[in-house]
Amino acid sequence: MRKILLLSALLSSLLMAEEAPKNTPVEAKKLQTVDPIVVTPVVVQPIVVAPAPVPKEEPKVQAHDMKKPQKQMTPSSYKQVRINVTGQGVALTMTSSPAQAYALAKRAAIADAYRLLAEKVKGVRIEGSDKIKNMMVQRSEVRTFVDAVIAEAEIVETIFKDGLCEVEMELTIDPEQWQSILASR
Amino acid sequence: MHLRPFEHLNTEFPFLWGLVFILFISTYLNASQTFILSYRAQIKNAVVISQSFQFSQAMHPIKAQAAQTLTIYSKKETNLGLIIENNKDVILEFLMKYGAHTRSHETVSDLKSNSLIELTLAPTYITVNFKKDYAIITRLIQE
Repeated sequence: MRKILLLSALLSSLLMAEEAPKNTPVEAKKLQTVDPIVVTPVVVQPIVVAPAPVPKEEPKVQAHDMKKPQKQMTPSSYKQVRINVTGQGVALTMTSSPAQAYALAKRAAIADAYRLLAEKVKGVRIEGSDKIKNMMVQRSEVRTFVDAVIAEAEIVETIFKDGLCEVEMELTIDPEQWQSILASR
Repeated sequence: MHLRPFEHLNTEFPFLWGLVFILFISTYLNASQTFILSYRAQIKNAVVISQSFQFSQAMHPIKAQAAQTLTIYSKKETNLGLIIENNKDVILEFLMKYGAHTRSHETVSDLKSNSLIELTLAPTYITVNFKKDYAIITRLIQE
């Protein structure tokens, strides 16, 4: 029994001796020349905690805010159409009195306003011609023509300043009456 | 069977004839009180170059209906010519409201503009009545 115990002790000691690191002189040197561990200071960036963006609150749409879809326009639903124009007239320099100058300028302004109304209501006939000779424009001409009878036009305002008279005229058109006529143009 | 005059007709017959007679009288205006008026103006490059205002008594009776009226204050003035002359602008404005003929020619040649506008008030029948210090001008519409 004593022999067996001695043998096992010897064997175990042998095995332990083999497993132990063999420190050769070279390895020992290596171990001695191991670079020192340089510890670099790590700068820790402060973490700034930004507040999370608050989503914009969309205005709450109330039921009564919503616009109703426009109804399809029918001739009966048209409102009265108002046409406003401003005619201009100039007084002659050779007048016997300022009153005459005013009267003439006003007359010219009224005629101009009537013409503008006619342009809007009935339209303008336009003719143009260019004369080209030797690849050059010799004459360029545009002619406009208006012819209409205007009724129910009213003078809204008359301003006379610095020899210029301005007359504002208004024409109200009833669509029910004129829709068929104007649409057929 | 013997019928008395108008017996076969409706009892409303005389009344209807009376109504027709009144309407006839009211529309058949006396020529001596009726006047005719017209106006024409030519405007070249925004300046009035010519105007003509014609006013005269109607030469023959006309069948017309009274339409719109214009009242002009004319104290102690019975001369119709003077009243019309003094209130020409007001009368023209009143009559033009019921229709003014506009004709315009504009020529733009080499970027220079030339315009000619003709404003015409067609011959219009009017009646003038005097009441105290007022002259009442009535526009007539021919039948």
